[in-house]
Amino acid sequence: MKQRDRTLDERFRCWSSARESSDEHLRQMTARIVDEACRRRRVEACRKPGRAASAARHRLAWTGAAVAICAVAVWIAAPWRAAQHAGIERGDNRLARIRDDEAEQDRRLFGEMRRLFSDQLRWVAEFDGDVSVGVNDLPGGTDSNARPVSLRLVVVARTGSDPTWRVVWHGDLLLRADERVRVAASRDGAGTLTVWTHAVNEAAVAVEADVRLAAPVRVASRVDTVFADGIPREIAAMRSGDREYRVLQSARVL
Amino acid sequence: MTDSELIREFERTGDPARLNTLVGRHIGRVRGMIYAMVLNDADANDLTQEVFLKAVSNIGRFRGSARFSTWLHRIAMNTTRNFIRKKGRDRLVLGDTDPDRPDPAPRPGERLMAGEEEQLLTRALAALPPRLRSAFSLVVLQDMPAREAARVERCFLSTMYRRVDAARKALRHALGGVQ
Repeated sequence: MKQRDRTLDERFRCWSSARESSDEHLRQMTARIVDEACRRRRVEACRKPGRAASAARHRLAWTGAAVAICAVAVWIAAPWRAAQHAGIERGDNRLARIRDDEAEQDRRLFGEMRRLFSDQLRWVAEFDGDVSVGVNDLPGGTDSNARPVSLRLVVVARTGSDPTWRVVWHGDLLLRADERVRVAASRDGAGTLTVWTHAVNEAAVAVEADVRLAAPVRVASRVDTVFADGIPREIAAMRSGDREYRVLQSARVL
Repeated sequence: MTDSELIREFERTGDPARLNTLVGRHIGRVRGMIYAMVLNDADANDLTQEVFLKAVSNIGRFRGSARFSTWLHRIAMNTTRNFIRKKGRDRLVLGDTDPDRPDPAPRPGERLMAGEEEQLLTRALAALPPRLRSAFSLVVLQDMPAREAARVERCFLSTMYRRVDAARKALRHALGGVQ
C-alpha cells in the first residue's frame, strides 16, 4: 500500500473513531434490541398456533380424502444412498407402537404437567432419556381445550450378523393438537423435530412432521399422514455397511 | 462461545442473555459501518436497531455456511442502501448529530479532530457513490478483510479492490490532494 493511501486511511479512521458511539450508548441500544426481539419472539410464538390451525383446515381436507403420505425425503451420506432401497426387509414396527397402557400413562403425565403449568404448557418430550418441557412465556398462548396427542419416533437397527431389530434411539413427544411445536431432539441441538397434529377423531390423528436427526443416523424426513390407534409407519430406511436402519413413527390421540 | 453456538442456544432456549452477548459483540462495528453510509447519528441508531431486529427474526435462516458477521453485515448493507434509496440520499450527508445522544461529551478521538477537518472528511465521504462508500467503509474504516467485504457485497474480490481504490482516488480529489 502506498504511503499516501495509508495517510488517507488514517485520517478517515480517526474520523470514524470520533463518530463511534460510547460503550454506554451501545449497551443501551443492545438492551433495547434484545427486549424488542424477545417481545416479538413471544408474540410470534403465540400467533403460530392460530396460523397453523387455520392452515390445518385445508390440509385436513386434503389428507382426509387421500389419507396418504405426501412426501418422505431422506437425506443420508452419499455412500449410503446406493444401498438405500436395495432389498431391505421391513423393520419391526411393533417396537414403535404406542400401546393402550402407554397411552394411559402419557395421558396422566400430560394432565399432571398441565396442572403444573396451566395453559402455558406446550409440550413434554423425552428423547433418549432426556426429558424436557416446552412452555409459553406468556399465559394464554395455547388452547387449553385442545386434545393432547402422543407422538413416538423410534430408530431401529440390525446388522448382517444379528438380524433382530433393536431400538437405537427412542423419542416420545406429548403435545396439544392443532399446535405447531419445534423441539430439539438432542442435547447439542443438532436434531430437531417440528410437528403439527390434528385429532381427526378419537382413533386417528393427522400429523405433519419434519424430522431431522444427526445421530445415531442422519435423517431428514417430512411426513404428512394420518395415524390410527398408535400403529407405527416406517418413514425412512437406510443402510450403512452391513447395518440397516429404520425410522418408525406413530401417533395417538390421548 | 462462538456466534453459531450463541445462535443455537438462543434458538433452543430463547435466553435473552445469549442474544445480548451476540448483539453486544457486533453492534459497534455494524453501527460504525451504517454511520459511514448515512452520516448522521439518528439514522445510524435507527437503522442499527432495525438491522439487528431483522437479523433476529430471520436467524433461523442463518445456516452457518458464511460467518455470522458476514451475514449480519450483508443485512446491514442492504437495509442501509434501501433506506438511502427511499430517502433519495445517495449523495446527501450532513453529519447532523442526535440531540438525544446520551453521551455528548467529546471522546478522545473527537478532541483530536478539529471541527473543520471533520466537516471536510464528512463532505468528502458524502460525495462518494454508495457502492464506493460501502467498500471504503467495510475495508478501510471497519478493517474488514477485502475477501469478507466482497462476500458481504456479493462481488468479486478484484471488484472490491477496484472499488476501494476508486474510493481513495475520489476522496483524495475531494480533499484537494493529488490523485
